[in-house]
Amino acid sequence: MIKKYLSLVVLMMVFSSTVFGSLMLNQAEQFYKDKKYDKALITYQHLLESSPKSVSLLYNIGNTYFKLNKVGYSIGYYRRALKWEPLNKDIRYNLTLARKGVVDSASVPNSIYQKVMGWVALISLNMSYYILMLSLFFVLLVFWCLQKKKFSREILMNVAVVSVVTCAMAFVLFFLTMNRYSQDYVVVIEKKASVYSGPSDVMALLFYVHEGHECKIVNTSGRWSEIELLNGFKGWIPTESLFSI
Amino acid sequence: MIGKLKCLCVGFLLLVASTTAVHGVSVSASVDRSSLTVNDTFEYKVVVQGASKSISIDPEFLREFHVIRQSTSQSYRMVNGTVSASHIKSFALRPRKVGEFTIPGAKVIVDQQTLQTEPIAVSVVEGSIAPSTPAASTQSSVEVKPQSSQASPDIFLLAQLSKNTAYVGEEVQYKLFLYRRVSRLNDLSYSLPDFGSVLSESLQRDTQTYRKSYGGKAYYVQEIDRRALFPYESGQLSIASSEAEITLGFYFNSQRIRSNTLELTILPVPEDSKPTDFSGLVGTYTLEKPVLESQAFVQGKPVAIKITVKGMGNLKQLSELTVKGDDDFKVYKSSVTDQITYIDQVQGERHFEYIIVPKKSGMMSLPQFMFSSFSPETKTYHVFRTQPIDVDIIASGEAVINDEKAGVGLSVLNEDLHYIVESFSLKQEARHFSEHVFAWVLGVLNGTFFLYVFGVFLDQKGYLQHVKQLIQRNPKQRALKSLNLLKGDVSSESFLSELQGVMYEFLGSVLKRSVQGVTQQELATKLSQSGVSESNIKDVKVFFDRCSFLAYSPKADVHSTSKELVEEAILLVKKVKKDV
Repeated sequence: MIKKYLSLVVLMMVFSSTVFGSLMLNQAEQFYKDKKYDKALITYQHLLESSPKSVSLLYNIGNTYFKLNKVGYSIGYYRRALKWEPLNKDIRYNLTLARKGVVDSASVPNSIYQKVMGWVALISLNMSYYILMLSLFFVLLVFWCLQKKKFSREILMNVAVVSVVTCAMAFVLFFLTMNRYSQDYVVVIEKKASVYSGPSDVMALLFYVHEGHECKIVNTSGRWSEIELLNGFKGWIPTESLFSI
Repeated sequence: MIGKLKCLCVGFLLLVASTTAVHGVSVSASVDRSSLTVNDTFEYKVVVQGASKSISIDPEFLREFHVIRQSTSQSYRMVNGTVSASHIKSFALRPRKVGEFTIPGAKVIVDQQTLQTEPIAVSVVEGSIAPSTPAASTQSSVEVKPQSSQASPDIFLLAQLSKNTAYVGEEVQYKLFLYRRVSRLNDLSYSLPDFGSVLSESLQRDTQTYRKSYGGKAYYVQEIDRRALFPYESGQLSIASSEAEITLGFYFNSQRIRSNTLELTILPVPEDSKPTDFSGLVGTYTLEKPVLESQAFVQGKPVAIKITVKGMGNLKQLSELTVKGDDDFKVYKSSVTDQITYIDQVQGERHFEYIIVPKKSGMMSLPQFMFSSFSPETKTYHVFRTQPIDVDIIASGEAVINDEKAGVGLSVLNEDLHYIVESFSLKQEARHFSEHVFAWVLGVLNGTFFLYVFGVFLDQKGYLQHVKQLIQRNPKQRALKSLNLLKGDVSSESFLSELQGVMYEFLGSVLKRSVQGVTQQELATKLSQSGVSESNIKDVKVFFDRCSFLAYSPKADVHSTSKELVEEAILLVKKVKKDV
């Protein structure tokens, strides 16, 4: 009897949380439509606590921050969403739009490596894993066929070479993606942040970075983080000026 | 001698022209007479056929003569619906002195190419009128007949204007129609009148031939030309007749016909409330929202702004926009590009590009760009100006890492974000592949498949057999190990069966076949074949007999003899292995 009641209570809790979440979502959308972006943001942020990996939610928050003229946060949330869906056109478009509002952007060497990394960035970690698994399965299948000696050995050998090369590329792709995911990318959220030569504001001021500038953390010390810009510039900045992607 | 030559010249129709052709463009020069007195005026004509644009000729080569006047005209020829144009440049010349002259070849610049005509010899005598003979142009394939005002009423040209009254700068369309009673038309060449100070732009004509009743008769009507006229002087404008030379068929003579003349009243634009920056632009226009090259403004760094004026009328009249509020900016005009179509009327877009350089930093409004136009429909002036755009300009010292990469690609001001995602499920969260069951299934499947394929590979190469042999390489040690274990567990009920099992397994590995269920006689034979001595075979038999006796005898004391049996088994294993 108690078990029955317990399961009923659990069911009701699950149901009510779903309904409550849906209602809040509708409310946030209405706020957004009415251009009450600050209220929409609070509601979305509340929902994010229970669904931190919802791509649509991250995207909507990015939009709301953009409407509130907070380009830094906007870029940060778009990039968080893009991490899971790198080919999502809406996210990419809005991110491009948000980046236009960034005052400074570091020069990026237009090398082949950078281009390759740009293509790699279009593939999510999950996607690269599935590509690897499928290519591996294909290689094994080809070798199995070779063992069975049922098919033309000459053709199979050619297929085997191609499949092994493909599999090797899939391995490289997977590890490049893993490497990208493991790095701490951040975006500057202050309007204008000073970058120093060391983890203290008494150190020499090197340069300024403006809101929305994307970079990566290479070191931390207390409440300071050492950042590296895409053009290779390095410096220390208070961690609270950064938003982790 | 010279006089004879002159007479010869007079006796012949002198052809004094030659043709130069490059890329479908041909030029020729001719004079209307080759012998004349010093007081005569003669015409020197350059005809350019196939040129798509206007031509230019420097009259410097005519320095031996007085250039009384010069004119330019165009002639059109329509064959099977295709129109070809000829540009004609005429010079009225008077000789400076008596003698034999050679007019050098005229250098004609056509479509950025320079073509040259052949020189022409002219003889000038003193005194009375020299006998003259008109010289025909080599280019003229149709004999010039007297103007045929008596042309058949069955064929005529009709010129029409879209309106009889227009403002200065307003578009008026001029259409030229050919009316004919017979459907056949072999050849048609026509020339339009000189429109004088009126700007004339060619429009796309209606190529259809249709039937229409005119004056109670049915005619085939064909539009042969359409022009957009933009008058720039007020007053009464008389448009002269257009002329055409027509050959209806092989059996018909060519006819020269001319159209009716037209009158156009041109009104000046009203002076009341005329904007100071009015450039004479008349028509219907709109101003598009400006497009900024970048939204990131840095002090002293140029940013391009594109402004598009769209509408119907002569957009080329608007050469530049008025800039207002440029105290904090340097504004430079960069370029003007047009996208104008000439179909039903002259309409299109004019793109102005200006470069703006902020002089100082801070929050500022971009300069406003404006222009004004007059609308003939509403008879009012319209002033168009761009909306104020507020921008935050960064001080030049702050943007130390700015470079040309910033703001690559044009950003449109009215661009907006793609809209938020609505009505999505919050449960649909992104998950790492390690959280996906499918990913695990794929991983395990691949792992198993790999082991299988690798195993088959080892098997095929014989490596697996070696491994098996390596594992089973010492049956004696395994047997001894098992027997020692049994020695410590003699009280077990299954002791005898386990002991026999160990011995059978040992003998099986020695004989490399299973010995379970084999008779004692067979076992003895196999052991003998494997090299085991007779005494040892006998001992093996005795050992198994004892085991059988103990197993089936009800009074047997297994516990007291078990250790003894194990010792015996150990001894047997050692002896048999030694023999093998």
